[in-house]
Formats: sequence, structure tokens, C-alpha cells
Amino acid sequence: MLPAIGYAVREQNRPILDDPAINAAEITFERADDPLRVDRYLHDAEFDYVSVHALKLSVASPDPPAGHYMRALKAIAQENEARSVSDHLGFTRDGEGGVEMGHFAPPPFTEAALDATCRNIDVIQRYFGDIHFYLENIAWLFRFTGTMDEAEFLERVLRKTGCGWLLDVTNVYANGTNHGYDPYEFIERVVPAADRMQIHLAGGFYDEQAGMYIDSHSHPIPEPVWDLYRFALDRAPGKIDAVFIERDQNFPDEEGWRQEVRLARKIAETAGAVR
Amino acid sequence: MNDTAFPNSDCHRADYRAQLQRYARALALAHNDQISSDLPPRITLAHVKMFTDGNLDKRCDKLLNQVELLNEVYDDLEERVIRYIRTVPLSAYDTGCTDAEHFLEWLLRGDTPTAEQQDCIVCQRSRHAVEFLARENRLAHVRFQDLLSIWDRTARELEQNSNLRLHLNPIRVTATFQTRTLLDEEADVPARVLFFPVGTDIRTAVLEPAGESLIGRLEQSEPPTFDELCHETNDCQREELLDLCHELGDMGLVACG
Repeated sequence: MLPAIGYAVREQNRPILDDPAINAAEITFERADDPLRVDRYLHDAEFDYVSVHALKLSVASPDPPAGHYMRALKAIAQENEARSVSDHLGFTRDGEGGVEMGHFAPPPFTEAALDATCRNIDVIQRYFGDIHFYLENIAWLFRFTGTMDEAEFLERVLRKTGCGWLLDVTNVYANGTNHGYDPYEFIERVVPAADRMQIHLAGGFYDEQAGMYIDSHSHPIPEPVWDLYRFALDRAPGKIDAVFIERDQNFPDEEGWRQEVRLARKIAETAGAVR
Repeated sequence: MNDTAFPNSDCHRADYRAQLQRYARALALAHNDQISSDLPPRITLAHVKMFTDGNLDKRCDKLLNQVELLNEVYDDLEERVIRYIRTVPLSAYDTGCTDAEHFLEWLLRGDTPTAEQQDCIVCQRSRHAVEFLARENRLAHVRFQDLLSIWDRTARELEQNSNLRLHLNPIRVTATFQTRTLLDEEADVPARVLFFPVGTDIRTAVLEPAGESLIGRLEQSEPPTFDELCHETNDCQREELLDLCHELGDMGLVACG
């Protein structure tokens, strides 16, 4: 079966969300969580698949996420009839009552971090029940000393918790480029550990000065990422529930929005035909 | 999965907590050298700096945007924001306006503000208070805004339809401005200013005594019908009261249902 395909919803792409190529939508929780909101975030739009993407569950923190944060996240999910919620494999804060860093950093890839992450995901999954949780691999600029690599850590989290994998293809590409590992091998290793998957696609840029690929969601999806997407579709037949394209800067014109999502669909259809 | 899956967990949980606390506190304030010994080969402090610089820049931009009003009364607002974010880490679960609220508290702990600066801070904090109240009383906020969305129709029926009751916007914050910085030139000061949401906007009003009195009356009991209100309100005529209700409804302070 084809995955549902669509965009991470931004004000700039709302006008094209009725494109026939789109049957999924991802809501970024922190954008939707306006305390003054009256209407549902998706207004009257209907999709086959809706997911709510969070930034601060901080699954690798020593404490599970606070009840008020999960309640607010669930409220947005329910208002918009979401089938899933997702967040990143990382930590944004130390613990309850502590400090926030502003963005997620990768956990040290150690047994202790693995245990904390699995405990927290277990709490999250129990709280959200039928709304499935997906864990996204992040693009990291640095990491801490650990006892295993990222792929092993992710694999073990997926197997222990049974949560879904939100495979951010661009993040795998960025990490492969920046830290010298094979992105194809990474995907190949982790796919068997995931029972269900979603995919993120985005485009960034190569920062010559830093010598790093920056996952800035500011450019069209580059060809190597499309290639990895094809590879992932091929390696995970029937597992991928949804594909979301993310764009946060340098927004394209209407035709640009339509072209990219149509290409994502066309590639998925071709991969499906190959199977 | 349950806790028994993790032998010796108490010990390594405590160690992990201490480890993450050290990392998070260092990275939140860009004290990157404090984690230099925790980086593997080929990862340098330059990589960490990219992470912390990006976070601090985003936090600075968001704060400047949220306290934009203060630009009018602080020439050095950006410098103060930068000093703040280099000194005070973001609190866990920072959502919406919490960092801006903490910044304003921090600002007040520094130099004594001028009356104009104080008014701008009060205005900004009142807006935050509206958001906080709406979050805490979400159901009441949504119900009232639903009623307000049909006000054009119900306002016409207010006098005749004895089933309609007048509801007060449940999300209200009152503040006092000492100067005319944010008021009309001819406004009396000090002025009591009411902040309230209409949809996702926050509006303000300085009410005449009759309006204040009606709001006070509506605050005190269950939503009345217009007839009940007339019966209990002796200080104005029926027609004046109807005009006043229409005026407050048009502003978004009352609605019928």
C-alpha cells in the first residue's frame, strides 16, 4: 500500500493542501498550540492521515515528559483527528524543573541513556494509546562519547519499545555527509527494527566554511536525498505509513510546492510498482 | 516494558541524571568548554558552538519579537536581551510567552523603570496573562468565542428573546497605565485598561463608568437575560442599557446565548 503523502503544514503551503497529490498533513505542535485558538489547526481540511510533530517531549531526558505538555499535545492530536504523534531522539532539557537548551541534542549513546529513553517512550505510548508514537532520528552537529553508535542505539530503542520510526532521510544524509558514515547502511540496519515508519524529506545547504551539510529546511530536496528516499521505500515495503515534506525558509512559489510533493508521490508509486 | 527490565537502575539513573544536568546547563548558556572532555575524537568545540550559537540566536530573535513593544521605551533593548539570554537559561517546557515573561521579571529586577517603561512592561505582561488565562480556562474561552461569532445575529434579538442570556468574556485582565504612552493623547491617567481576547487577537479597552459597572454586575452572578438585567440595574434606562450591551458586544466583551 502507498504511504499517505503530504506536507508539514505551514501558513505558506495552506493554499495548496487540496492538491490531489496530498492526502496527509503533519502539524507542528509548537505552532498549533496557540492558547487563544478557537478553530482546529487544520480548519475544514480533511486528510487520510494526520500526525502531530512535537519538539519538547525530550525522550532522552532522565524524567518522562510532564503531564501538562502531553495533555496539550494530545488535545491538538484529538482536535485534528491525528493518528500519530512524533518527536526526536534527543534531549532538550535536563529534567523536571530544570533548564531547556532550545533545541534537541543527541543523547550520549550509552546503556543509561538507552534505558531512560525507553522508559520515557513507554510512558508516552501508554499515555497516547491508539495514537501511535514515532521517534525521529536527528541531524546532529556534535555528539557525546558513548558506547555504541547511533544506528545501534536507535535499533535497540525501536525493538524495546515497539514505537514507530520517523526516518528523516535528510538527517541521515546530513549525518552521513558530516560524520563520514554510509547513509544507505544506516537505513538498512535500522529498518528491520521498526514495525511501522514515517518519512521526513527536506532540503538544506552545504556550509563551506563549517564543512557541513546543514539541515535547514530551506532548499529543494537534493538529488541524493531523493535517492535515499527511493532506497528506503524499497527496503521497507508496507511499513511506511506516511511521508511528510518539511520546509521552513525560502518558501517556493505555488508551483514549487506542488512539484515537490508530486515527485514524492510519483517516486512512491514507482517503488510500489517495482514491488 | 517495565522497570524490572533495568537491573541496577537506581545507580545508573542517578548518574545519568547528573550527566544530563551537566550537559544541559552548560549548553543552555553556551558554556561549551564545560563539556569538552565528553566529546569523542573528531568532534570539536567548534561543532558544539554551532549548536549553541544557533540556539541562542533563535532565542534572541523570538524574545525581541515577543517584547517588540519595549523598543519604544528602551534604546538598548537588544543588548539587554542578549545579556539576559547569556545569564538566565531557558526554563524547562518554555512555551509561548514564558521566556518573555521571565525576561520582563529580570528587567524589573535591574534598573528602576521609568513610568513609560513601566507601562510598556505592564502592557506586555497583561497580554501574557490573557494567554495564560485562556490556556487555563480553554473550554470557557472557546465557548464564549463561539457565542461571540454569532453576536451579529443574537444582538438583534437580545431585547425580545427571553431565552438569550448575556455572557461576559471569561478571559479578562485589568491593568493600570500611569502615562499616556500607550493611550490616546487626551486620555485621563492613571487609566484602568482591560485586556481580552477576540478570536486569536488580544484587544484592549478603557471603559466608561457605565461600562465598568455593567461588567461588574455580570461578574457577580449567572448570565442574566436582558429583562433580568434591566430589572436589577437601576442606574440607567432600558434603551441606554441596550445600547451599552451592544457596544460591549461589538467590542467582544459580552455575547449572547
